[in-house]
Amino acid sequence: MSGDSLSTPLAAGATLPRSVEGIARVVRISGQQVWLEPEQTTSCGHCASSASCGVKANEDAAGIGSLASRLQARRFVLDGPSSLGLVEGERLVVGVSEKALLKASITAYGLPLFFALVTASVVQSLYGEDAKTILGMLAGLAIGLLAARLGARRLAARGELAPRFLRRAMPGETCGTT
Amino acid sequence: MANSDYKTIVKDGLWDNNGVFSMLLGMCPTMAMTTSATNGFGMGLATAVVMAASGLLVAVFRNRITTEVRIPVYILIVAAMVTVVDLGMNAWMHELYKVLGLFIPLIVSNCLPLARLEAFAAKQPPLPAFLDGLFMGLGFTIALTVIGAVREIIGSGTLFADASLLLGPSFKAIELQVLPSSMNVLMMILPPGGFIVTGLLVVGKRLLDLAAGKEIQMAGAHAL
Amino acid sequence: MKEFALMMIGAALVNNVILARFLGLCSFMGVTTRVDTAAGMGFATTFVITVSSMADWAVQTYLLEAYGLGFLRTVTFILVIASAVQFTEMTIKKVSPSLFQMLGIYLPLITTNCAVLGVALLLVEGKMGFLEATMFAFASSVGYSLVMVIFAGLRERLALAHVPRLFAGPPIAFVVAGMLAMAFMGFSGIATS
Repeated sequence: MSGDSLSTPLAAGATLPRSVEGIARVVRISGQQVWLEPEQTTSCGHCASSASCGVKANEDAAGIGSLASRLQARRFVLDGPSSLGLVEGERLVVGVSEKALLKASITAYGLPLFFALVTASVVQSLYGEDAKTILGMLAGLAIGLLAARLGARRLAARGELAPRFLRRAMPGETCGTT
Repeated sequence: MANSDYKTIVKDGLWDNNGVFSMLLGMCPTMAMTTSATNGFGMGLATAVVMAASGLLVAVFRNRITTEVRIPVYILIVAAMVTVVDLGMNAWMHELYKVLGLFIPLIVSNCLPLARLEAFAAKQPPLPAFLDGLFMGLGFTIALTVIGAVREIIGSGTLFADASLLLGPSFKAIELQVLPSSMNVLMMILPPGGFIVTGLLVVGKRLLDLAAGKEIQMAGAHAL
Repeated sequence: MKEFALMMIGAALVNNVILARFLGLCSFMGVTTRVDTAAGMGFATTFVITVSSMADWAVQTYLLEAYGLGFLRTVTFILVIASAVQFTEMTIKKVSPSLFQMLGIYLPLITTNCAVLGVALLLVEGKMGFLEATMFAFASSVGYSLVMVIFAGLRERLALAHVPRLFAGPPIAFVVAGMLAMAFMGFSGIATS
């Protein structure tokens, strides 16, 4: 928000790039490592902290394909903040720079899709046959995924993919309000 | 189950917890299929049938469905019911079926049936679950008919136009011409009207709840 | 080629998935509060819609139509889309665990929402060839993402405005979306159908 830059000191504003925030819950602590589970759940307009839409994810239903299992698959480790004295069940706000989120989604979704569509179009114009176009599309998708792998490795090497601990979440704070 | 509980089910479904105006679920058909009161009514009824039937089925099998697989099972039950309604309407109400088209199969991805199955039918015996589905569905029908009526009256000046064609000849009597066609605001039956009328009617329900001294429902308010 | 371009513009702008066809409204209303999240979400949704539409097209053509199983369409499509979403997540995780992790925190889970199912059903009704269907799905989802990003921008502004309490939340969002829909009606001269 533009108002923020007025209230924060100029120097601090210059060193901290705008970041995207997300809320995650501490599920396990082992030594230096803190395991977190993201709170944001469905694209259906609701998140776990506003249980609605019938699909609450913070229950123990963790079968194949269920939301909870997919959420469990999204668990991640945060290194370092053991000095903060976090306890299980606490909700944290973690952030990455906003550029990083965009780069990551382009790498993960944009690249493979681009290659798939281009190869499909080329094969279609060469052969004009649906079955061959599908094979071409699959090949393109595979190439795109390889490209995404390389791109992700580069992003990871620059440390752009690792979320940072920002602060503890306030009780009423939900993924809708950040 | 006591009588008062059934009363709560009816009241919740039709007004207090109205799927559209309070919970703001199932917005896609709400806006797409309310270009006239008749369309809204038809869409709502189709949804109500699916909700009542799937509520009944889920409640009957609630002890056999394990928690791990319940969401996929619910979705498949709803999908099966939707297929039945889809085929049934195609056979017996073909004109209405042609109007509603895409949005009949899309009942599957409507949040409302799933939300009620998860919140109610999964924990209740068959009869209340059936009634809950039915009245939630009827509440949905009322909401869609009201939105449709407002849009139709302002947009084309009629009310329940084509009811005899879409629902059956006996509905001829409710076809009305409310406003002269010179006063039509075409915008209202075009997509923008759907958004604006729905938004204003949600405000209307909040006003009525406020006048009745109730806490206004801020469902979905976190979204902003 | 020209028909292709017109078809894609039509799918993305004129018959916009959200503003003209009313598909995917719940994710539209719920998710978009920040432009960058909306853009990321847009890429994810575009990928999922396109991939699952291709899968649905293949299933429809080589399975349902070939064996006269058209009545199983709704059930099958739901399963295909759910598998496509799972497949997407598993592939991203395999491709790069750290990428998957990071996107997992900030992008909501994509569920079988009505935009994904709706686009697949539109394809089937349009009786398109494979490439045409793919491009239609791609263009539709680009239109979807575009509106998500625009709306997120509007909401960032709206968050600073003094909205009357009665209008707070969805009602004002609906009214704003209505105005956006009016603006998009201006595209209707470009391409038909």
